[in-house]
Amino acid sequence: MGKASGNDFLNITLKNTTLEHGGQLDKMAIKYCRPTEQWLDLSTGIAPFSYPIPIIPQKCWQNLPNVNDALIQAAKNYYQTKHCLVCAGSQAVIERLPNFWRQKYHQASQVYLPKVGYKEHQKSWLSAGFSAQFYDAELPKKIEKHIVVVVINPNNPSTQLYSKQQLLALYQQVKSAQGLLVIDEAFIDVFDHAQSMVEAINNDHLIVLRSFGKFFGLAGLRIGFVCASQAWLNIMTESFGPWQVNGPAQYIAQQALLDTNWQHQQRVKLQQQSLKLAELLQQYLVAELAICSLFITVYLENAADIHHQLCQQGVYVRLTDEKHSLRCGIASDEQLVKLKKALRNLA
Amino acid sequence: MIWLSLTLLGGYLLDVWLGEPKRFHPLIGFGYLANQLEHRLNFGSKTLRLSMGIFAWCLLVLPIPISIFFIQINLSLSTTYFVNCDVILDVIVIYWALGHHSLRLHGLQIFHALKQGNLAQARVYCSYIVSRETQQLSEQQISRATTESMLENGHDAVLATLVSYLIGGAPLVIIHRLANTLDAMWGYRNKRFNYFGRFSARADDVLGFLSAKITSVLFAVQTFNFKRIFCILKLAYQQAKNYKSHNGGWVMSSGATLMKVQLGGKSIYHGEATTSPALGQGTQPQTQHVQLSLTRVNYAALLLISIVFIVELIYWAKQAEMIF
Repeated sequence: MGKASGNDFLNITLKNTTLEHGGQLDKMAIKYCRPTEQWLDLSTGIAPFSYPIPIIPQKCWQNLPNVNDALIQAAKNYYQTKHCLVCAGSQAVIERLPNFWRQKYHQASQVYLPKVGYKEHQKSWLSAGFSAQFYDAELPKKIEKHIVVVVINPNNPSTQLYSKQQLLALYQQVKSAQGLLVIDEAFIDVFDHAQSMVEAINNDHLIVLRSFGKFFGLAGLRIGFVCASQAWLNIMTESFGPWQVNGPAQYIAQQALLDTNWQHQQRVKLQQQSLKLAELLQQYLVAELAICSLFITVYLENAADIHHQLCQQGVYVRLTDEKHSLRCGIASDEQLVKLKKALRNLA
Repeated sequence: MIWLSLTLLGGYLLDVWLGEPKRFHPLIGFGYLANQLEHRLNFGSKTLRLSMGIFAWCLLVLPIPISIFFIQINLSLSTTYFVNCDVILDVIVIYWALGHHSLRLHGLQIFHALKQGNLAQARVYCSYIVSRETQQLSEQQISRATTESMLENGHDAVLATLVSYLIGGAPLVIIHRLANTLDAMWGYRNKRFNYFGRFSARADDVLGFLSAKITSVLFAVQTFNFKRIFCILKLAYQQAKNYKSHNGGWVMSSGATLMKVQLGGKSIYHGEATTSPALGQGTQPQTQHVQLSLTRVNYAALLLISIVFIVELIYWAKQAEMIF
């Protein structure tokens, strides 16, 4: 099958469907006839340890949630950037990016996407009528005019991390082609700041998406940040309209972004649990592992079968789109005990 | 009784089970304090910098161990319980000072990244533990850098703590931990730290002098071969003479020979290539040596605790004989 026909197929299937992600416990509960509270849910890459919710001042509930300057200041410090924008999760931006880019350059029509990775990027660009080319482990080399390159760094689920050097080189190319480099750094918080491309932003050709909920274990808050040039942020602010993020969420995020001590502990804890999880998985499964501090991808010959067997025992991990691997979120010690029990019962 | 070995074992097991203290690690605060002090005191002539370095070191390192020392004297005078209160205090201090858990974590994440072939990830993790540049390192070079670090830090963060306790109790454990932290912050031969950090570097050399030799012996005896034990130690003696860090030279050389690899060689620090003398004897280190070095450090620690236990047992038996 040629590349073109593959793309057409994706064009058709992805345009108007709802994508499946991890975190669909309700569906699983019905499918396997087990009430949700009896499941061990490791289907997402969200930290199992959440930032403790502080007492929220009355005014956060009472007032309309205009963007809080203290939050933006905290975010600028945390992400080490001059320009950033708070939004209701990076999904909101992902959906609108193709249109923003079209408005800037009408003739833009090409996008490079990672072959594996968060499929919402693909869906969003394809729906807007862009034609996509896919790259695997190697970053794209042939950069045409006004092309868009989406990089997920580190990649989910492959955990591949592109070095700063590689990305800076790509950025140079994209810049001279008047293109757009979109870097989704949803899982980068487990590394140190030097890995982020945020600090490289100096014009309109780079947008970095940062996720808040994964590292801080608060995905329910629906909060994310975009780091880009001021011009981009102005366009986005205008398009989003006021009161994107509710007041309590802003308050909690502000506290969490300032708490460097907690962040340090979280990094160590996640790293520790991911190694424990890796050891456990290696003990019971004959598989290649790709490890990151927020999830582990297990490459198996019979991934779908193992997935089914685990579900039967009330353990929900994510079967990746390619059906050749399972993605398992990081587990706390208590969760590891449950997981071990289920792994032991595998046929 | 056999309190010494039990105390060591207690601190060791706490570290294995709990890892770093949950919410707040005091060394972070200590680092902040040290930075502040350095900014205020590190200026002026060579002599001024040198003496200010000594002053800052004393100010940061000494107060806590001295207070612990007096607290323990009072505790041992006043206690009437079966378990001495100072034993509990000792266990906590050892647990606090041990970095075995953290060392394993740092080493294993590099090991796993290398095994997956995820070189970029391995480089990032490697940059957390070594000061050389890691952007250009190959898989084999990362294995080498990490193995070196596991052996050297296996001494600094694990065996030196245990030996310090045997020599000088909880106060010396704290002195060593803090002095070692200051050496990591100030012990550089560059413009900024050449004079201010000199005392910190020397102090760390002195405090780790004996424990480095003991660690080397603990590595060497793991061969269970008399001739090889002697060879390993002789080689360590020769190679450490030419190496920039005396203690590091001893432990890395003996650890490397034990694993039949050769460490040292070319690396790039702050943009400049430096070649360090060879350490150990054997083939080039590979990915599995990262894990192996952690195992060897672990064996050395357990071996030390066992030896202390046996010595105490013999001593205790003899005393009991005298009484009956």
